[in-house]
Amino acid sequence: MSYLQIAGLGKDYGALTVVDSIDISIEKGEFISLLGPSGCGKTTTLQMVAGFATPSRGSIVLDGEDITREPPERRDIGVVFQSYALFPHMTVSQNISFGLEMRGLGTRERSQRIKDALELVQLPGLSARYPAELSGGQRQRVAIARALAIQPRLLLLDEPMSNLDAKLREEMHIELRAIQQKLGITTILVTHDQAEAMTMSDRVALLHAGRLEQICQPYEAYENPRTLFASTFLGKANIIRGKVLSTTNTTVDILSEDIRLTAQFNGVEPRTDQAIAFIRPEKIRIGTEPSDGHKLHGTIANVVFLGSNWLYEIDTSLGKFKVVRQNDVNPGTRLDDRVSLSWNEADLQLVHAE
Amino acid sequence: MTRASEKYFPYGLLSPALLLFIGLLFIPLVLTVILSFYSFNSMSGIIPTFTTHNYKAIFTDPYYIGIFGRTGGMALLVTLLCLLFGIPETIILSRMKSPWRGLCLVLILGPLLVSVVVRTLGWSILMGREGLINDFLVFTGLADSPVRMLYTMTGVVIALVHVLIPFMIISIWASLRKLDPWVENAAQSLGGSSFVVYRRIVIPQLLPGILSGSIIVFALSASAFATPALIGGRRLKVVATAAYDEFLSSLNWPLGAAIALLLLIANLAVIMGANKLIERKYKHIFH
Repeated sequence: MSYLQIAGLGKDYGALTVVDSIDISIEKGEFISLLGPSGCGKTTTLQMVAGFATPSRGSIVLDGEDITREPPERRDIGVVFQSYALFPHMTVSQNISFGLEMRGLGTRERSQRIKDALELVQLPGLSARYPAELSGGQRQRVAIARALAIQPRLLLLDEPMSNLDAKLREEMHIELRAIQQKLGITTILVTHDQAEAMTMSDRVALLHAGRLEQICQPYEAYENPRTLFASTFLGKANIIRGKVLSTTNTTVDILSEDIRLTAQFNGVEPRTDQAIAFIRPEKIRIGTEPSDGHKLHGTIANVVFLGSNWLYEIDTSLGKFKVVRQNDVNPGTRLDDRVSLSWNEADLQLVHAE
Repeated sequence: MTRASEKYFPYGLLSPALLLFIGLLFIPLVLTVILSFYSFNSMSGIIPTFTTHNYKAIFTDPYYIGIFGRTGGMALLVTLLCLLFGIPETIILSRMKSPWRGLCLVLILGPLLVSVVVRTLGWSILMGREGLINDFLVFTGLADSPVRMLYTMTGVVIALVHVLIPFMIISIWASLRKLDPWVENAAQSLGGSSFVVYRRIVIPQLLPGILSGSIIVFALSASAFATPALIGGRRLKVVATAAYDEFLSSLNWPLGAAIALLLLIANLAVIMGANKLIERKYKHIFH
C-alpha cells in the first residue's frame, strides 16, 4: 500500500464541480507535482489534502490512517502557501516556534529545531527579524523552514515560487529539491509552471478541468503525452489533424490537406476516423533544399532568437509550424525563404482529443 | 506659470480650509486659554487678570478631582466594554455570509445616523422606573422592585457603550479586512486549534485596530456631554457637564474654561501616548 492514497477525491461548490474524481498513489519520499492551468482543481485538491476544504466524495489515506475528515491541526502536514502566510506579528524564530509549541516541545528542543530549520534553508542570523523586514525570497525560506521544523508526515507546496523573480525561482527549484531529497520527505507541489514541475518532481500529475489526465515521470509526460491537452500544456507542440487512412499494429497513416503522414500509437489508438497527432518543435529538422525524407514544405514566417536556440515559425499547408533549432551555427536564413521540414517517424505521435 | 506662483499655488488651494480652521478652532481655543487665566468674582463678574487660581482650585478641590476621576474611570470602563463586545462582534461579522453581513453591518452602524440626543432619550425611556427594562425585570421576577438605572453610572455607561461601539467595530473591521486569510490556515496546519489560532494569531494582528478603536472610544466618552447630561443628570457630573455648569449656571467662565482645557490636555495626552505606543510596538510589523 502506498504512503499516501487519494481515491475518488472530488469537490463540488454548489452545482459547480471543481474536482471531479482524482486517484493518486504516492510513495514515501516521492515528490509529486500537481500541474495544470488555473481552475483545473489542483489547489482545491491540495486544500483537501491539507484539510482546509472538505471533500464532497472520495478518501485520503496517509500512512495507513484515513484523514479524510480529520481537522487540519491533527493531520501533521506542513504547508507552504503562495503568499507564504507568515505571522506578521512574530519574528522569524517565533514563526518557526509556533508549530513546535503546539507539539509541546521544550525550550531546548525548540531552539535546536529552529536553528536546524534556518540552517537548512540557509537563513541563519535572521531569527530576530519580522517578516516585513525580509525580502520575498527570504520570506519564502522562512515559510519552508516553518513547515519543515515540525517534521511533518507530508509537505504541501502551494505555488510557492510564483511570487519570486525568474532567476531566484530557478535557484529555489534546485535548492528545494535538494532539501526534499536530503530529508526524504514526501512532497506534493501545486504549480501551473511546467518547467517547475519537470525540474523538481519524480512524477508529474497533469490535471485538467478537475480530472487527472496523466501521471508519470516528467520525461515520459513530455515525450509521450496521451491527450491533446497534455501535449500542448507540457511544452510546445505542433498539432496535425487529419483523416485516418490505414492502420498497422503500431502506426497510423493520416491524411491532412492532401499530405500523407505516418504517426505512432504509443499507447493511444485512434477511436474514430479522425486523428490528432503532435510533434515537438525541437524534433523537426529544417533544411534549405528539398531532400529525401522531407515531410513538408514551407516558408519562414518569423524567426526569434532565444540565445541557446532559434525559434522558427514556418508557414506550411498544414498551418503554422514551430521549429526549434539549436544555436550551434548561424543558420543565415531569412524571412520568406523556402524550407523543407523533416523528422524521424517515431516523433510524430497520436494523442486523444481529450 | 512662474516659479513663485507655482510655489504659492497650493497655499491658495489650502486657504479656505485654513481660514475655516483658524476662525472656528484656533481663535476660540486661544481665547479660551486666555479666559482660563482670568479671575472671577460673583459681585463684579469676570476680571481680565493673569492668575493660575482657577487651575489651583481644580487641582486642590476634591470635588473637581472627583469629577476628573469619575470621568476617567467611566471612559476606561466604556472602552473596556466596547472591546469586550466589539472584538467578538467584529469577528462574527467577518464570518457571516453575503446578505447577512451587510445587513448586520448596517444594523450596527445605523445608530450613527440618529442624533446622540435622540438615542440617549430613547435609553432614558427604556431605563426609567416605569420603563420597558424595569417592567420586564419585575414581570419576570428577576427584580422585586424597579432597579434604579437613570441618574446612575451604570445607566450612563450602558448608553455610552451603545453610542460608541460602532467606532470600535469600524476600526477593528478595517484591521480585519487587511488580514491574509491563509495565515489562519497556516496556523491550523501547524497544529493550532481554533482557540489558539484566535488568541495567538488573529487577535494580535488586530491589535492596531483594537488600539485605535480604543483611543477613539476613550476620547469620545471622556469628552461626552449629551449622554452624561441626559442620563447622569445634574448630580452625576463628568468633566464636560461640569464645565457646562460653570459656564451657564455659576457663570464662572474662567473656571469653566480651565476645566475644559484640562480635559482637552488630558485627552490629548492619552491619545498621543497610545499613538506612540502603537507606533513603537508595531513599527516593524506593519509598514
